[in-house]
Amino acid sequence: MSAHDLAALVPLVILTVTGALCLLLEVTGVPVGARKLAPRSHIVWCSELGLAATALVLLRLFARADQPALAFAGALRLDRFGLGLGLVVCVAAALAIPVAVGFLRSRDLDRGEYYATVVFAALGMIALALAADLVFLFVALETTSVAVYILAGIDRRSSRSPEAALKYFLNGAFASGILLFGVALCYGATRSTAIGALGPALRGGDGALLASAGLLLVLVGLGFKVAAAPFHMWAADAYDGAPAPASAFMATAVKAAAFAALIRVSVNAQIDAGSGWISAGWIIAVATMTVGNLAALAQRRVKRMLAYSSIAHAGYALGGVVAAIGGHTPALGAVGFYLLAYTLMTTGAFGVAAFFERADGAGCSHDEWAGAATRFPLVSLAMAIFLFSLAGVPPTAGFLAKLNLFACMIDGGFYWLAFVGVLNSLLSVYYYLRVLVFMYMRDPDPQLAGHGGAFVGAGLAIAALAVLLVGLLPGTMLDLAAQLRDVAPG
Amino acid sequence: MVPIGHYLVLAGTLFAIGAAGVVSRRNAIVALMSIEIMLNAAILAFLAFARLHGDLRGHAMAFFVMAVAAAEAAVGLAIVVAVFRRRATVNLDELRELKG
Repeated sequence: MSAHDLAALVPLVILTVTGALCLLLEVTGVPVGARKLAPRSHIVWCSELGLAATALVLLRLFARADQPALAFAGALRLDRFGLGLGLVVCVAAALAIPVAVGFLRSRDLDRGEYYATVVFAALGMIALALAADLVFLFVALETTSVAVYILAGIDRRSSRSPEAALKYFLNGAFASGILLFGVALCYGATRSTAIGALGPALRGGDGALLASAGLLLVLVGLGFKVAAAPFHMWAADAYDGAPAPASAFMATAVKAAAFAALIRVSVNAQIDAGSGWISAGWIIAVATMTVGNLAALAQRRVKRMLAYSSIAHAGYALGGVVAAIGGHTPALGAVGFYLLAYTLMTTGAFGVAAFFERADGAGCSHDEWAGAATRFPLVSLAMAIFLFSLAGVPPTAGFLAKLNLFACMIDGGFYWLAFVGVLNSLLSVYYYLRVLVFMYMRDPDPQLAGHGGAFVGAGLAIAALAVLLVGLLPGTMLDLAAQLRDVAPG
Repeated sequence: MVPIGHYLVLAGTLFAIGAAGVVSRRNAIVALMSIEIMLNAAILAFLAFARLHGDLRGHAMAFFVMAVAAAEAAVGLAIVVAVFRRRATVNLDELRELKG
């Protein structure tokens, strides 16, 4: 084992141990020092500390990754792109855990298993962001997916959560099957499972057709996971039906990790700038943002609106991916930064939904949120920050990320893509601000109740401050994002 | 000896049968079975290519896929049981609480 192998192993081992510890703490009971805390607070702290330690290790590896290195005979690639998106996954998990606590306690789901599953899913996602081999990519994707199916169905006594989990599972497993067959074809064409071997095989020789078919199936499989049109149908049901804290995690972390894999595969395929692949990606990006936005306009449930909004945001990010495949390298950093901003604001918005959600999905519609600002001023303020950021209003993270992403599309020569993106983002202002109209300008609904608590408050406050802070420090963030440029084989 | 092409045709056919099953059948258990057929088609393709290349990596992949498929089936069946307990049906057309 080389030093790189050990370095790559450290974050994964920390998360494995943390997850196991969360399960163990559930069985062993409360340690003496933690008896005064609320029940299972120590498990929340354990998972948070594990994630923080992982993030620190990833940061350290990020700082040292000037020269990308392969680890475990080419299974993982330690480069700034993968490590950066691994950090985004850590942020998503670390925010999704505290905002879940209030809801979980109210539904008697506050068990070590929930936190352990989130940590194991984060493990799979970080592995997915670093994967440089299709076998490793498949195993990491399945580690992620199986854990997330469990999270979607965690509220098994409700009628909505198992239905959402079933729909998510069938679509996700179908996508995995397609992806796996694609991996088999790529293996047949290249005699290797390395992602870096795809590019040369596609450019000619006996296996070019086989490699193209394999690449197509792999990209379709990943397209399902990021909820790109026309493979987005499951997302609305899954994010709306799953408990809101689980949606907060599913809609952000899974997407960040799946985008990392999608980008790594498609950029390594070294597609010609004028080929049909680019046009197809272009059309899919435009379709995804438009379909997501149009469907979000008509929604009467905040959670379902956020689900469609997450499809629309995947469309914007896909536009950046197309620019990156088209040869405009800075777009990689722009997509990474966009995913960070999207993670902060979407985890926060779903976190507010988790604050209000009651049994069987009640408490998540526009009507029920009427007048929330008079009764829950701080939570409503946080929601306002998240929604302004989602709509792309300055000085928030969402504005800066969108501006940077559209600028990259224009620099890469994709003028129409940027134009449609800006139009779509204008359209989205309507349905985001509509929620605020209900919260701030209607008479209060006396039925509305929230699950407060120190963890929920801290989670929402940190997410809201981060959205503002990222928006107010454009220089630092854009410099960091510019370093996520290297995904091709070195 | 059976030529490699025949194995690949078989794998492709199984994959198509599985995919058609997932798309067209409305029973969640049958859909789950169809997904398993798709995974097995991929295993068959891996083994055929491993034979073609004289390479052991495809064989190793088959073991990975079997382990993953087992984990997936365990969670999938648990979800189906949870749905059936609450709703007394596993027909996807009758599970219509989520829409909009």
